[in-house]
Amino acid sequence: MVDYEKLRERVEKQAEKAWDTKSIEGWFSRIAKEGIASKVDPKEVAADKPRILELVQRRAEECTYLSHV
Amino acid sequence: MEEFGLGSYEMVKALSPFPGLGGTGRTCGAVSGGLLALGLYFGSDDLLNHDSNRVCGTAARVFMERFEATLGSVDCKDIQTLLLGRYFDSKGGKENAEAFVKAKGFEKCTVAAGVGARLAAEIIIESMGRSSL
Repeated sequence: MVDYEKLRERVEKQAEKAWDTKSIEGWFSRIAKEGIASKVDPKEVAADKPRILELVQRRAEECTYLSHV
Repeated sequence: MEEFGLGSYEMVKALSPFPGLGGTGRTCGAVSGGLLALGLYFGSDDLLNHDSNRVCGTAARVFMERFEATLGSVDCKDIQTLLLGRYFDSKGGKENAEAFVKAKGFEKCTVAAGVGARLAAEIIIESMGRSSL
């Protein structure tokens, strides 16, 4: 079920966020130049789940922002 | 994909036309991207490996259900209406494009991208250490 209140807060947070465009561009350039790193250890990923989920979410948001503005 | 060592920059490039499924307001690009990540992780090099195809299909179905439960729809038109208050057709002319920018559409639509990527990552991590999906 959609949590409208949580979504509204998230949307407002993104709208007001100060995007570090230079840093995002740096990451994006590195990926474009060097490619994506080799396989990772599943045990390490599973053990570090909260941090990785936050990172994955943030990277997706930044990539979307940078590729549209 | 980077956090799981999946895919290549070519994949990122190939996703370029997918937002709003070719700008038509249909399937959200976050859905396309999430499914691609699941395909890279659960898909098999052997397309005749039906067990692998089944696992991949199950992961995709779980993803679609969770995405829809989070954002109410998998369609760009509906998600824009939810996040921005209305739908902005990308081919709706200059005024429409300016209204999208003014409504902070670029910033607010990142919410959907984050949701899609996080859900796909959750499904991948949940499968780790498990014998079946």
